[in-house]
Amino acid sequence: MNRNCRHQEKGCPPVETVCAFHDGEISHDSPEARHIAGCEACRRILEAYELIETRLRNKLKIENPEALIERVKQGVYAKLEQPVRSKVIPLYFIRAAAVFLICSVVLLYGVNSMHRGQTASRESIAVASSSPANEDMLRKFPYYTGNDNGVFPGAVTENSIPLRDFVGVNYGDSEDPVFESAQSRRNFPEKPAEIAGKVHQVWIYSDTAKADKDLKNFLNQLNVPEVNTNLTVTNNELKGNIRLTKLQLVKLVKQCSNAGFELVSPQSPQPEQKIFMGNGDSTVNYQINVVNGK
Amino acid sequence: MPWNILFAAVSIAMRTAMNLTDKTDNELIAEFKAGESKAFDELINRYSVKLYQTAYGLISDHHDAEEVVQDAFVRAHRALHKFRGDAKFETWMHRIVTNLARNKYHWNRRRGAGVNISLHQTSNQHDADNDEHEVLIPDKSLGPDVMMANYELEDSVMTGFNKLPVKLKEVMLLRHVNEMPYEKIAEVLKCKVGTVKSRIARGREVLRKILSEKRAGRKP
Repeated sequence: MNRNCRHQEKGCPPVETVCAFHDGEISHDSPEARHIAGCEACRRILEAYELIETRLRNKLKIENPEALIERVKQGVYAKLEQPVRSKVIPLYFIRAAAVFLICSVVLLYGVNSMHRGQTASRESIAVASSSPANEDMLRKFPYYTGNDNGVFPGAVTENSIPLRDFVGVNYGDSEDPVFESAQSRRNFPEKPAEIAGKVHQVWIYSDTAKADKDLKNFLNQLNVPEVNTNLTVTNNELKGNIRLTKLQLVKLVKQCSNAGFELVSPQSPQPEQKIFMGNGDSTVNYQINVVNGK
Repeated sequence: MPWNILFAAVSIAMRTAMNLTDKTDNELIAEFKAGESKAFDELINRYSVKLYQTAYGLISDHHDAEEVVQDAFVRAHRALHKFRGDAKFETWMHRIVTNLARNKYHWNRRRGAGVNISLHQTSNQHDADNDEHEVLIPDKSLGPDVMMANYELEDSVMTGFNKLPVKLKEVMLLRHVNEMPYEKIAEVLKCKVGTVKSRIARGREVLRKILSEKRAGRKP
């Protein structure tokens, strides 16, 4: 609204006030009301308002209200007799459905991705590092670096973990491992690692024959019965199936690491890990492959 | 003896009819909820004209305005059992009508229908076959030239009014035609009293300017 209209320049109140005066919404004793009552410009505005109001009322006046009321009644009751149209789906229902749909799609995608990840993990193979020696090794020994479900040689996928990523890991100090129950895991700053019932790890070592000797020595130190140990050495590889406790396995992994074995498998226990979930006395089937790599 | 019964029945019916007109809206609503359908008729009697004027002022079409009022009462009839009385029935009905009329107005605009139809034109067209909505004719004691001038003025006011935005029309109709106080208009339109004041003033100023231009143009 243009508050600086011409009549206001003469000290007249704003048009809203003149309107309110016209509608009887401001007291007639107020200073504005006294001004409006005595001002010629304001009086002309009031007259114009009066005229507008009269014109509007005249234009909208109903000559025969009874007939109108009767028509309205007839229309109302006729419409009330018609069956009620099925309600349009409420907006909140549409929103809820949309949210549900989006969540379902996300969930489906997530589950699908997990499933694909698992499959790929089972079938994945370590991709060669950039060094020609490693590439040559991988061609000869296409081991999976995948998960705890075992090794499935022979396939190469894009999801495999490059060997080079596991070379030169900082294995940390050689403190004794700690096994804790799941409930106490929040007391530790680092996340406790979980050792599966069946663990498979691939190591790289410079001399397979020495690796066999060292490994037997370590197992002996850890008091792993010989009957639980089955190690076979071929030209370039040591393969073994060992049945031992989780604590023994953790210590074995640490000893191997300290002896210069390079672990290329990601599954627990890793040499640098110190805290584990579960019980150290639980039995593990450990499958080990030591590849002649250096 | 049957005459006595008939007389008693007629007198009860008359008393009921008389009573209905004397009752407040809330009493009528309570009776309607209790199963007295005549109470709803009385509500229609009370508010049809005012609601129709509001609807017609907004959409400038007699047929659409009547339909809006009917639809508003149908909605009220279906929802009256849930009416808690937080607002007055009249306010509630005006709110329904303004909303429906606004929807109709925008619907018509989108369809391109009725955009350029003024109240004056529609009224005259309608009057040709139905004199129920006759325009109030100015005082016949006036001379033809004065009557013509009045018609022109009225026409220009109504043309200006039709060109106003719906929001300004609403407040002006509720104020001028339904004679509602500012507070009630604010309640109907769910806005502040200050907004109502401002809109009324804006609407009037637009029309006043049109009026003064018309008068200035008429002067030799």
